[in-house]
Amino acid sequence: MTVGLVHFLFVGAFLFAAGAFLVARGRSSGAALAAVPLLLGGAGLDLAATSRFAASSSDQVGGQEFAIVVAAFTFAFVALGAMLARMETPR
Amino acid sequence: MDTLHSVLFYAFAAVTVGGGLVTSLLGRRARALGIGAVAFGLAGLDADLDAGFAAVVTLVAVGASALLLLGLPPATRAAGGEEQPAGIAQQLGAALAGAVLLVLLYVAFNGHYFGGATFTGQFNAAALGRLLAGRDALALEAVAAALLVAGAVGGRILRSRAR
Repeated sequence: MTVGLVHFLFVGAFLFAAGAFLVARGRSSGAALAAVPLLLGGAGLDLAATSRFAASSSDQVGGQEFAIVVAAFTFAFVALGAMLARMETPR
Repeated sequence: MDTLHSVLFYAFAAVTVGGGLVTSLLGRRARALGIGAVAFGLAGLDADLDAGFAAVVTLVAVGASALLLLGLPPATRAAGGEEQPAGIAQQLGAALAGAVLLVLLYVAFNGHYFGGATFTGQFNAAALGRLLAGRDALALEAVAAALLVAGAVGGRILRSRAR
């Protein structure tokens, strides 16, 4: 079975929905922080897949570029959130 | 995609989906492990898409996020009392997340995409460098500035709390 854009979009959609589920159901700051890589990872995968399969020939790696920026944002969000959560922890 | 790429896709997709399930369903101790699995799976899927540079960046960024989550103190991770049963708002939010999944799957399956010729190589570092440092340099500067401001504000808060 040939793998196409829809297969990658399915995986990205699942990751995004799992992150949304974790945000909605979790009650701690750790759950919200853990949801960030899921939400943004799904979006980044969709961007890279769209770039590979469905982008115009004049902008062949634009989606990969945005995927890299989204990955950097993921780490920045988690780092900032972890720092704030660590500050709120009573010593 | 040929057979090898298809096999790699299904293998890494299984790792990614399994990591997502572990992260969203299991307890706080397994979350960092699940994020690590998601990082590995996403990097593999990116590499399967001939986006090697994006795969390396994703593996490093999401893997480092997993390590940060692993290093959170237990008191913080248990601060909200996740063992308590979820209320109506949480149940409604979880149901909405399921609805989001259905909508996304419907759009992905029924969407019409323009199939352009996109193959540019295995790693794409040179093309991405030309985009990031050339055409989109201003946008990259804006993103970097936003990250620096966030870091500066966080450092300021840390310093004020420490006093």
